[in-house]
Amino acid sequence: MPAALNLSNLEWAVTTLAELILLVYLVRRKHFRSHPVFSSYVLIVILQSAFTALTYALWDFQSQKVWLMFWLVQLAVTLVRFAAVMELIRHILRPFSGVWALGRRLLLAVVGAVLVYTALLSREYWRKLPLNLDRGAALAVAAVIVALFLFTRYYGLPMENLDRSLCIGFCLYSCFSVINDSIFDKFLLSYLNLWNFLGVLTFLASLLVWIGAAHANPATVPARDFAFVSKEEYGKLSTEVNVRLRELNERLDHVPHSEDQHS
Amino acid sequence: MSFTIILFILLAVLLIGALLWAARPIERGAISADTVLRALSEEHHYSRLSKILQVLQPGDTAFLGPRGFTALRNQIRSERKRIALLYLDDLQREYEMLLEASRVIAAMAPELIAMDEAKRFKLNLRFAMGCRYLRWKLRLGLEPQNVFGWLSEMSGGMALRLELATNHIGDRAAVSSDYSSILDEGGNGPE
Repeated sequence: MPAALNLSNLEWAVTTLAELILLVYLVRRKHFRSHPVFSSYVLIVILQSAFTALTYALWDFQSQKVWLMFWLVQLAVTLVRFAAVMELIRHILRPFSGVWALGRRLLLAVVGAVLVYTALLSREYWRKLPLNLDRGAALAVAAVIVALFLFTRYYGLPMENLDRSLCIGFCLYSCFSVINDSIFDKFLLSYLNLWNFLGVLTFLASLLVWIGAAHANPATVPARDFAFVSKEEYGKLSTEVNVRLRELNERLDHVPHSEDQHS
Repeated sequence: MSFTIILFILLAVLLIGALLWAARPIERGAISADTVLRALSEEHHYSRLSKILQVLQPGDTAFLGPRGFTALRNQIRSERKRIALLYLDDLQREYEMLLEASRVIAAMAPELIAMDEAKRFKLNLRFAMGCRYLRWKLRLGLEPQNVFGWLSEMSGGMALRLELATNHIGDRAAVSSDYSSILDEGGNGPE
């Protein structure tokens, strides 16, 4: 057990260090301007680590008070994480005003459906409320990011490398959280140490992905209000497509008549 | 382990798989308006539909049988079937290009056709299935007339929707250009 605890402490220290490195990159590379909520999320996670260490030092690790504080802070972090994901989605889709209008409705529907699904399937929902909320939120984040990737792929929309990496990090972390929470749901206390360890480990993996992206990519250019074509190209596209399509429709109109003549 | 826990884990694994698939780089790349225009300005395959339908009529080659040219008749029919299959490939490519064009337009002015997106997706599935069905009908030597007509109607429907969308884009471009010129005039007024 002490060996496991030492390993957990080491993991915790490495993760906090990685969070600090990420924050430094976000500030130095000026990513905090384009991603203020994500930067706040990283800062809040660092504060969460400090707060948790403080509560563990002051009170008994397994006391009711520590349990309550842990989950309240976790709830706040989950909400900020959700806001950071929404910021990313907005950042990716916003330049395409109409796709954004469709996308946000679709993604909100995905979030709602996943939360209802989680509430219906979770065992003893109210008794294990924090765990179920954590799992539901993680599943919603993962589902919404996958839906976002499918959506952008369908429309062939460009995605900046930083946004892409942040999304992948959030999605992988969320998926592993769902798996971890589900196993924890079954085995509860006997799995507690391993649950903590794996939870932090997957977050560390996401942090490394984000650090790589924040280090490799310069500050992002502010999103344009419109995409792909200029006003002149618009006019050109409109006229030429209309002529082509009218011609096409006229030809199609002749097909039934020619078929009648043949039969 | 309970069924619900397995469901959650399975869903998470599925999402990881879907993420890996969806995060792959897009092979076709971002299509530009110019590419769409170039593709739209190429000659369309619809124009040859009536000829294709005519040559697939059994009556078109039936006279060869009684005159002792059965082998020739079979060879001609088989050649025509091969050409009809090639035509079908082109029709499908053309439809996919139209779909791609509609996506490009959607990215530019999608609020105008956002309501049709789900319909278009279903239409695309129906078209793909229709093409497959028609290929099998042609290979098995069955009458393909009705399905060809049906596919053409679908392509026509897609073209009409595109036309509607591009009309709106044109209107919007005209309005914004009028607005810009009004602004310019307003700016120049006091000088």
